[in-house]
Amino acid sequence: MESWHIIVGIVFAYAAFILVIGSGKWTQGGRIAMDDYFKVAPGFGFLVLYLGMAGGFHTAFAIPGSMGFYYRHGVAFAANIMWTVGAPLAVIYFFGARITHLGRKFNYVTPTDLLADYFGEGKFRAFISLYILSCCVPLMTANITGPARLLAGGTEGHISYLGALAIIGTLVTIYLWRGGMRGLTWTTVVQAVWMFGAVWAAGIWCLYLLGGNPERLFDAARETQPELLTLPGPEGLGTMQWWLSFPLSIALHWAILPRAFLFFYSARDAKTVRKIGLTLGFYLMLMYVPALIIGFTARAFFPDLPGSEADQSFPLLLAQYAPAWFAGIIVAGGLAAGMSSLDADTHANAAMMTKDIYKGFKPNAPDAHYVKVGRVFIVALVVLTVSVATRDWGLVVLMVGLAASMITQLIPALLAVTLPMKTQFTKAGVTAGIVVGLIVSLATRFYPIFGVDPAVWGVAANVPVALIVSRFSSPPDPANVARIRNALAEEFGSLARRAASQAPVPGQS
Amino acid sequence: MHSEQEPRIAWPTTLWERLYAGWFIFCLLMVAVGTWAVNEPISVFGFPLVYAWCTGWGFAWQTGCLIFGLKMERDIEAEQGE
Repeated sequence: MESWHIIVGIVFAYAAFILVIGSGKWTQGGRIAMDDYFKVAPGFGFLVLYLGMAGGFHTAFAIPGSMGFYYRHGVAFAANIMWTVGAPLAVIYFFGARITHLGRKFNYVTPTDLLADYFGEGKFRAFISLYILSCCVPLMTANITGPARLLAGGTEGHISYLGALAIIGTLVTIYLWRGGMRGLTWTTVVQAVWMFGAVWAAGIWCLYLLGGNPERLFDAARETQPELLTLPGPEGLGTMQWWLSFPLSIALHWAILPRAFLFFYSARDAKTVRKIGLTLGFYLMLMYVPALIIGFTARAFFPDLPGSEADQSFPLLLAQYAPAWFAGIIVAGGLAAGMSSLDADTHANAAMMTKDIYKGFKPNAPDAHYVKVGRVFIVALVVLTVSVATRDWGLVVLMVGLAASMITQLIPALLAVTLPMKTQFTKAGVTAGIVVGLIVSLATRFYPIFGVDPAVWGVAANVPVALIVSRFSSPPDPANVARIRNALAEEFGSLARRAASQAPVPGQS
Repeated sequence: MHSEQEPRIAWPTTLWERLYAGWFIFCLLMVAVGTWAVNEPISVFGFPLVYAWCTGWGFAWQTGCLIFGLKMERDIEAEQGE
């Protein structure tokens, strides 16, 4: 038996296991309703949602992209601490819990539901949905391309790249069609465990290749390319500006992607999400700890891979030095990393296409009809993603970068809804802010200014424009604003109210 | 819409909330700014100093905020009568 037979066998066994997990009885909610297909109406508890979010937040970048990053840019990837730890503790803990509370109270299904409920319906809903959809298709494409390449490479081309795309697309379609958000979450739980184990097993295996001594990695780097050991790295990427702005841009957009909203809405309560926010950083950070060992080991064995070929360094290491059964486990881990976010993005986008766009044209159909339509959109989105993934990869990379900038521009609108403040943002204000922020982030992507991430420039332009336009435009319906703020105060205001009541009143001794 | 009587729910008001926010900002600065003070090709048990510094502060950041956050949760539960 040749080694690729073993790899294919393990990957197919893994795929079969995922299919069973994602379409079993436990993925059926018992009623056909949008709020029980696109999200999970009763809500998941801590452990399932923790692993679901942990897996869902990792993309194909986790395996093998992060190792390739260490290979190419050295210690610059240590910047990941700022988003793996910072984003859960800030964005998920504070904003995620608020989104969960509002989502459960007012039965939101899509990210747009939250914004349209506060700012008002109409064209705004369609604008926000199309805006989000346009940036998520590239993300989906990236998340199918990464594992498809790994699968094709890991089987020495015996499964072609197109074949790998078809296999992944079919798998995701089957369990999303049948299990919806439940199927997605349960498969992601398995994928989170698998990919975590795969990355750590790969790190330990790399140490074994080095005779158990990481000092050899350090010495090899110092002798051949000492720039790997310090910032800004061999290619000069990790400048001070990059170090400060790139992690900020990731932290800002990562936890407010549409897939994150569906996880927030599928939580049992805000407390569950707060606990996830407090602990998710451990998983996310630990996931990337072995990546340095793997990237530097690959560099020690294959020192001359040029540019973007760095991403192939880990698959190459596996192909040449790992036993077939071990390579199979790692390739399946790469599949898990990509599929766990591909399915979540596909599902979230199908939800938006159904509820935010299709329902606008056919508003009074029964829920079963919308669930059927949502399933058709899932198939259409997977077909679209696979088609795009067969095209120019350079364009996909560019679009993924743009997607981060685009999602980040939603921050002021989200702040306005979830954090009551004296300053009143309006529908016209946030729309103008989004448009100007997008233009500025596009311009600074092609004409960089001071090496600062384009998404950060976009937000810097977005906020003042949103504030100025909001000052001269109609505010949101006061009844909606009061309803949403009262709901937030119910869950999050008690401690603040008590502290305020205990604070000394100025002028009184 | 927003009156002076409304609680400032986005602002740290209790001791644990202030510690959480303070520890978050301190550790963030240690990684974002402090790293540049240790940007040398030095080995820490075979790992580059920049990597060891960031990972170490990452653990401290996460652990400290978890401790303060759980205290905040306890306060919230007491306030909500759970």
